[in-house]
Amino acid sequence: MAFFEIDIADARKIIKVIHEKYYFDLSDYSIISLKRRFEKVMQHFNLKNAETLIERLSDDKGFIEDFLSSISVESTEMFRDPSFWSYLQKDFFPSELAKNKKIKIYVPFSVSGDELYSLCLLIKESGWQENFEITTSCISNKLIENIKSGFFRTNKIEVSKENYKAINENYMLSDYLSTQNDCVFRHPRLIEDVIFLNQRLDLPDSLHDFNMVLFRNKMIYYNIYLQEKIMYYLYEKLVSGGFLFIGIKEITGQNSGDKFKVIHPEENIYIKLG
Amino acid sequence: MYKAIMIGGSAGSFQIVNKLLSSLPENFHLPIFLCLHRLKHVRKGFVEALSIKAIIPVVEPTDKELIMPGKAYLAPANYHMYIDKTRILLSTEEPVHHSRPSIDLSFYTAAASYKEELIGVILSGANHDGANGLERVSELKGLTIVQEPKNAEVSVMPEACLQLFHPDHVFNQDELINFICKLK
Repeated sequence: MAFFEIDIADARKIIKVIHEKYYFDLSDYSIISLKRRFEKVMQHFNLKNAETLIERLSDDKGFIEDFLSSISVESTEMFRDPSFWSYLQKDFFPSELAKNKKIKIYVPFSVSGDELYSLCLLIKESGWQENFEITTSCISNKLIENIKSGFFRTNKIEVSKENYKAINENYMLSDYLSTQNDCVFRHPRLIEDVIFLNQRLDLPDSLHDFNMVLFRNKMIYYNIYLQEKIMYYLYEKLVSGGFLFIGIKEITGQNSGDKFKVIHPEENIYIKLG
Repeated sequence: MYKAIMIGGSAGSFQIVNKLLSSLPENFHLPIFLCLHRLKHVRKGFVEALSIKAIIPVVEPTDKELIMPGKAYLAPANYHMYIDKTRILLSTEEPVHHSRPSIDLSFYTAAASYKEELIGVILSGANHDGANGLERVSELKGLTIVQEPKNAEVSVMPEACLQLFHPDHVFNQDELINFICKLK
């Protein structure tokens, strides 16, 4: 067996405990991915079966922060899909800045901060810091601390460097990385102006009036029902005519035809209708 | 009897997959899932190349795409491809055996969905990804086929399967294509 396994019934029991104990509803997340995330947590914390994980969740209130951080799927790298970032920098942002002097961007539910750092780095390199206001949310304080520290997984460094170079040959990602105690960190000053919020999808918030939402490869972890719900959530966050960026293999849901219209099919960029 | 075919391969598998897709009968009715190792940053070209001579449509699925009979689904670059009964799910979780898409993960999920109604095939390839996955297909009573190592351009992947368990068939390229084309 390649990795420790639980069955779907166990996964549902774990979901139930988290909901009852911490009011955190995972029932509409994609069960196949979630099952795999639970198995990862069990491996990481050396919990031998589903019952042990349930006991830990029930008895150790401090464990939920670690648990939520561990089940959240990180972005794969910085500047994933270089053509998307290149399009933003060379075409899309200049054209939008000609219309708006200030652009507000929301990056919901950050995990590793790869998309956030990519965005902030691109803006810094272009000298647009004064023109952008960026807000991000995370589902736990532990994730916020981790992103603010700049921590960068070593297995993402090479691919991220290649991606960055594909956007512009003169760019060097290593200019923004430093090493401390064998760990690599991105320069936290890149994100010093970012507004961080501890936010959950199932709780109300007062966020609105964003010009753009960056939400790539997140919806793939929700089931169809939750995808529809999140589409409505994102729709509400945007100004009329605002833009939504999603992953190149994601769709805006089955019933969102009246909410969004694609303006760049290759990079999956949508405009809010109405 | 069988409801789907899952094919995994890496180096040296393109040619045989291409030949298979161009040899299928026009009324071929099973969905075929293709999890083939590929360059993560090259988004275009692969599905187009497979489509040129293919008898059935070949697509890179979007997330939650409904599975249709008589269609081939190629795992997109830099995504894992999971099979969940009626739909295809994509994921950007960690690579397995340094691979995303991971053949093992595609096989695990397809085996859990289709059980004895799945045919699993491992072709030429240069690492061990897929061997555990095909063994799972066997454990859940699906039909397992491995390309004959000496017939494979790179024999590591088929050999890894044969070291792990006894598949139902060990076929050379022509035998494999003939077998799949004759499925009712």
